[in-house]
Amino acid sequence: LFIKESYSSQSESKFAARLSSLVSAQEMYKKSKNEFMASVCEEQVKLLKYQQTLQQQYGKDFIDLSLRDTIKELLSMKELKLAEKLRSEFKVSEKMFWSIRLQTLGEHHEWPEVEKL
Amino acid sequence: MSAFGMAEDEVRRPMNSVVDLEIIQQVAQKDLIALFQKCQGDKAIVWDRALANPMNLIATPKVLKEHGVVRMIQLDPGMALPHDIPETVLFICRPLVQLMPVVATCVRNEEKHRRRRKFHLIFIPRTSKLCEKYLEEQGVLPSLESIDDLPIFLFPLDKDVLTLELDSVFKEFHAEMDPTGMHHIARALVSLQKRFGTPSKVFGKGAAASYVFSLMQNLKQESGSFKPQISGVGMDYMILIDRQIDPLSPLVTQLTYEGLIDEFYGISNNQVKLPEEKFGETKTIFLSSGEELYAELRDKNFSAIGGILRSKTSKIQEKLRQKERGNMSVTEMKQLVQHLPAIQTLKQSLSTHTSIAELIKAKTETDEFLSSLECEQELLSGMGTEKINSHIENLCGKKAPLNTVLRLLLIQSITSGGLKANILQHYQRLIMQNYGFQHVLTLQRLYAMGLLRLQGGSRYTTLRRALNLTVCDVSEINPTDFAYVHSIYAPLSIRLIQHRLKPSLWANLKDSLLSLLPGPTVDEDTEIPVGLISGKRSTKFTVVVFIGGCTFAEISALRFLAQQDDEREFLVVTSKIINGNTFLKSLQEDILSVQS
Repeated sequence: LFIKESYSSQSESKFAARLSSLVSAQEMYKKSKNEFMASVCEEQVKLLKYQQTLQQQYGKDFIDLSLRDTIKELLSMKELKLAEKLRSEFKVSEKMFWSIRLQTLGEHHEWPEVEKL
Repeated sequence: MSAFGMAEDEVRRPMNSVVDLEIIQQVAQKDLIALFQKCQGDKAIVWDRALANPMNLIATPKVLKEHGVVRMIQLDPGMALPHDIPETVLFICRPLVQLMPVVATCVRNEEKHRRRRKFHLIFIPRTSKLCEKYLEEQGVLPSLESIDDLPIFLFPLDKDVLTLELDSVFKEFHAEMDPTGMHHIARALVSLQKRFGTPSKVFGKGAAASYVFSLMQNLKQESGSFKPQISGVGMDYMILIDRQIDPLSPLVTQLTYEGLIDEFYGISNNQVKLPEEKFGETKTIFLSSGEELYAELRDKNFSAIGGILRSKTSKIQEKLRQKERGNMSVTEMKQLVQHLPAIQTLKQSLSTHTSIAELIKAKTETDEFLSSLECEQELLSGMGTEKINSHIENLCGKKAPLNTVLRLLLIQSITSGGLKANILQHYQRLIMQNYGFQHVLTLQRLYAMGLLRLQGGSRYTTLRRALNLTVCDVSEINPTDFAYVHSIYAPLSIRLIQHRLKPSLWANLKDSLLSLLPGPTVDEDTEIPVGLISGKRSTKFTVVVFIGGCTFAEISALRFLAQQDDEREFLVVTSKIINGNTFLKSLQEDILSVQS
């Protein structure tokens, strides 16, 4: 039942509908005492909201990117601060964050920056 | 047996000399053509995409042409029939309701343009009331001249392999409680028994296996006319393996030649598409035991392939050089000329397979492949299965193909007998953060199916010891155990079969083993009237049925068992040939389709 709930969140492409069904999925999980899934849903709601703001701010597609790709996109736009904020907000491990950073710099051939790190 | 290219001088035992599977193909082809004869003249076939390839195994395009098929079109959503097709149009498709709108649209389109057409519809393997109902509601039923069904369940892939081409019975049965596939399998097996005789013993393990078994019993009773019979073949065992008792084996990387080709490029109905880098263009190659060289190479561990190819090539060169030098006696010359066509074919296949082997070698030498393989083998040997695996973590961080991550994750979950809650959550978070939230659904399904589990009793460790699942010192070139198909790991499914067939081994293990594997057990002797047993049969013939698919490596392992036991032959019936990637894909399928 709860999985179905989140299924519907996938099939509906409209952002608002998606958000609301995610929220209800989260509540369902809470009721069934599946704390892990509830917190995961909560995080996703938070991420989607972030992405919505980013999308409006930069006029770029952010919605539906994974957390990693969101951070990467921000890094390649040199929005280091915003990226750091997401990192602490979503408790991304230090290791993962650095690997994303390195990869982004590498892809943009910014070797001097890599040296600086 | 010498592995160094002596095989052309050896007498190779044919893979399956007992039953002639060609008869299945011939009967199916005859039935198909009988249906063609109902409609005169030139015709076009509109193929259901999923059937076009397997039907190739039944009737080649050449045969179809001989019977008046001038056009072949694929049935795709949103398609329109081209203008220049003959009057008679045959739709050939699976009885799936979702295909019917496409058929209906095509028919209506043609009517709108007032083109004179004769439409026929053929369902494989059987008609479905639902589909007919849909067509009736759409009002296109009167426009169809005929609706027929063609009961083709089994497609012969090789002399010893039959496939049902059912992609997702594992998911359908175990996750969605949909037994349709089981009915197909049961019907196929009953028809097989009508042709080749009743097995004297049936052994099965797993929920799907016992389900199929009881369906078979019902079908036999229903038809009434079904009498146990012993053909000349004498099937002594039918073994039903539910994929659920061994989900591990398809996840482990296959290291046989054929298995690796499948892992990297995907073999579908004996065809593989290879990239241009080696051949100048994308090339489709047919792989079957009909090709002598491939028959020899396919089941070997990849490390043995280079040596065989090299020595064969030099041998041929030697022969040809002799001819050029001209220092041969007349009789030698005669012999050579006789063999020349064979040598030419061999030369051709040598060059093809050398190219393929080079492609694969390059892939197996990459860091990603080797480190994942190492990780996999550590897990299989029971090392570090308890903690967070840094290799899996790194793969997530690099956003390596999700399938690679999932395969390793599931291997860890199975070999450790379930992960600790915090570790499982850590992995789940990693996957969601890196690959996207939508994969939560895949993870949930894997969890629901028990492939991803929380800690609880370590079955794998016990099984590994009892069945000797990992063998460290197996030679890849001259193997003494079929663990060579994965270099160190022997597929559990095949080990189980091996033990079941040896009474001495079985007696000791029976109870402990069966309680370790999930699902009910079927173990029955069919009563066969004494009069029917015709003396002593020299070969024992065993049909192994994989419900939920099997890998090429498992087939290779069975062939290895047959080679070792002079008296036993195997016939493999599988719902589909799978590998780790296609196995996972069948589990994610509907989620992906939602995305697209």
